Amino acid sequence: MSLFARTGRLSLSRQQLLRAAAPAPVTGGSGDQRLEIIRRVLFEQPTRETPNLEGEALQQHETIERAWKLHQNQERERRNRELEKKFRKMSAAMNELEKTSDRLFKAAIVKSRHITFPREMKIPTETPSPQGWNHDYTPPVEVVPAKNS
Amino acid sequence: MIARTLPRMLGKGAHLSRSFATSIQARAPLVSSNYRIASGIVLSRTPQITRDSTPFEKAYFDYSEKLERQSAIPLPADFYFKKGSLAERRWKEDEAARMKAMADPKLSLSEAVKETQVKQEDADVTTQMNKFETGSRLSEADKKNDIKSLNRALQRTLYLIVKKPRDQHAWQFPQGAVEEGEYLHDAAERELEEECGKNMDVWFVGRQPVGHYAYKFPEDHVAKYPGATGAKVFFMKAHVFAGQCNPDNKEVVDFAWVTKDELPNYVSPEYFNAVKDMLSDL
Amino acid sequence: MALRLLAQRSLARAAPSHRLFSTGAVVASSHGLNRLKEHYHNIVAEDLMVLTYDHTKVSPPTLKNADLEALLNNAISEKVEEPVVVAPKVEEVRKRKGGKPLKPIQPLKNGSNIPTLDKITVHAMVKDAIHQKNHILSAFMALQSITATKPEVIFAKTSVANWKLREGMPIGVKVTLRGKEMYQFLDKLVEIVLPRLKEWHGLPMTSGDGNGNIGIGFPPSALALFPEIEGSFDMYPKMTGFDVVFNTTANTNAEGRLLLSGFNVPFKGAKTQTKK
Repeated sequence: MSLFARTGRLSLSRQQLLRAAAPAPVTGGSGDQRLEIIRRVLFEQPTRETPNLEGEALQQHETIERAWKLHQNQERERRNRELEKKFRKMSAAMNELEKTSDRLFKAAIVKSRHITFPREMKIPTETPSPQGWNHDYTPPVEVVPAKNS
Repeated sequence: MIARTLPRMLGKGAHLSRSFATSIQARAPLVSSNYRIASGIVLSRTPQITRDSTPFEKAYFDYSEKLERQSAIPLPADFYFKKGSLAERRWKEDEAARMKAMADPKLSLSEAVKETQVKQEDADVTTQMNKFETGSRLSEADKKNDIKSLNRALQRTLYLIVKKPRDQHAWQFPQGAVEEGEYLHDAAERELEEECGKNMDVWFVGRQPVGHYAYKFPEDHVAKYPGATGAKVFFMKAHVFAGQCNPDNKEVVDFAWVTKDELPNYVSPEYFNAVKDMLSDL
Repeated sequence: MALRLLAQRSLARAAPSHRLFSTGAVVASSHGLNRLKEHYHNIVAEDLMVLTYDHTKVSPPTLKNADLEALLNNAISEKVEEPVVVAPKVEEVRKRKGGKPLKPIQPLKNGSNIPTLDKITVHAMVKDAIHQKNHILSAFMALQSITATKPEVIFAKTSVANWKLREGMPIGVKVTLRGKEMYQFLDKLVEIVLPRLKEWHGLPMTSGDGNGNIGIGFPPSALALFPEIEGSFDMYPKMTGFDVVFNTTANTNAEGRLLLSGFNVPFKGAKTQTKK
């Protein structure tokens, strides 16, 4: 079965790749052998047929997908509402500060240009560390450079 | 000197407070329009572990996994694994488990693989030697319901509240008056150190207040400390990464780390209404 | 809500042959959740909102009260509202120093347009493909292994005689990642690859394209650090270098860097505000 007969069923990227990498003349060398293996892996793969759901199964699948999309929508709306509440609270506080004290307001608007999140702000993991929270933290003592007398 | 510079600093409509001018060491607190300006700290410990997924999320994930497997190209094992290697053997066992799980509607792919992986780990000596411990998602503090521990409610955000030595409105976020010549975030750091000790690794999120609350002092307080009829608190947001609160037992006698839903059990209803919009539900 | 119940009920009623899912035993875990995505939505987004707030550019609220309860209370209590007079806008011509191309107008800030990660583009240019077409296969396979999506081949748009490049020649591979795959790739990068890079201490604080997108280039040795390639390292005849571009919805470089640092991407010489 020639490669060309299969072209119609291949995905776009596979077609692009076929165009890109035509079979090389047989020369030898391990590099070429590996490339042949990769070519075989990429092109001559038995494809699993996408199951065409019909009837009740299709309805079920569609319902599940719609339920999931609805769930995602609701989650997004909930998150946006919470963020909007926090935003308005912050905005109101800044307005109040502007009315209250000019000096403090000017200091509050100052933005640090190269600010980043600290490295201690770790992404939550599935399980916590076995040591748990470090309740016994003490701040590091700042080393004052000794003066040469 | 103070009399000349303060009006400029405070802006229009500010009244000078002279009641503390007698003590030279203590710097006078900032008062504007008869409200003392204070800065409060919303110190939070962010969630330490990922939250539990809802049954629907779990079910949908298992469903999608199987659906994707049905239409996916099988993995080219001869490319990824060396013939006869341990990794190949393990993968073959996992695949066999997955094939069985596809036919079984009660078993999800992830569960099937978990079982075989446990078997593989028990069989392999080196993993037994190098086994690393993992903590449990439900900590000791959860079981004991220790509200002072930061190991509690690992999926949620914990907020620090402190108790003032009085009967009414005792619990609140740490706060303190802003002094002259100080800015909000400086005042917040100083107050936190004074009231809660220095043994916490704290990071302030920017210099802006995230919320404010204005309230009037009760009449007996105004009679005792004239100069301001109320206070305006501007809350600054901060995170704690390590350490514990040590109350100074003068301004603050007790503390607790609570989630947003537990907060109404401690603070007054008006205070909760004022601060709830700043806090996270999770 | 009704749809969700319907879905769950219909799933319960399904015939065994069509039932392709299972809920399994109810064990408390975050099974099915994306760790980085949850981190962004729960922790990073609100801090980012505070740090990128600009009081001069606040968008007016669409709802007078974002709090639903307050909105309902206001609806019940009858208040008379005065009509708001809006002054007509005067069109102004925007210019930039040195005649440089204009940047897009930054939208007003509100709770819904916080900087977020839009997509990640992984791209590898294979120069060897000029004289030997097959070499592109190696890069294609490598990127497919890393990102779990099929890459697309990039063909040359113009001919350059110096490099013997002709138009239409396949010269590179590219993958665009969004959503779940994007977060998984970023997770791998941050937890496994970046810590293992030799003599690399973080992205410079000058990185960014002016619009909040940040790119990083990797040497060929970095490809071997990915877990998918580590095991079958010998099967790839040629390791190619590649670059990863983080496209964000941030408006400025500082915001983009801040966003990435929220995902634990290390930056060299980064300052956080005074910590105590």
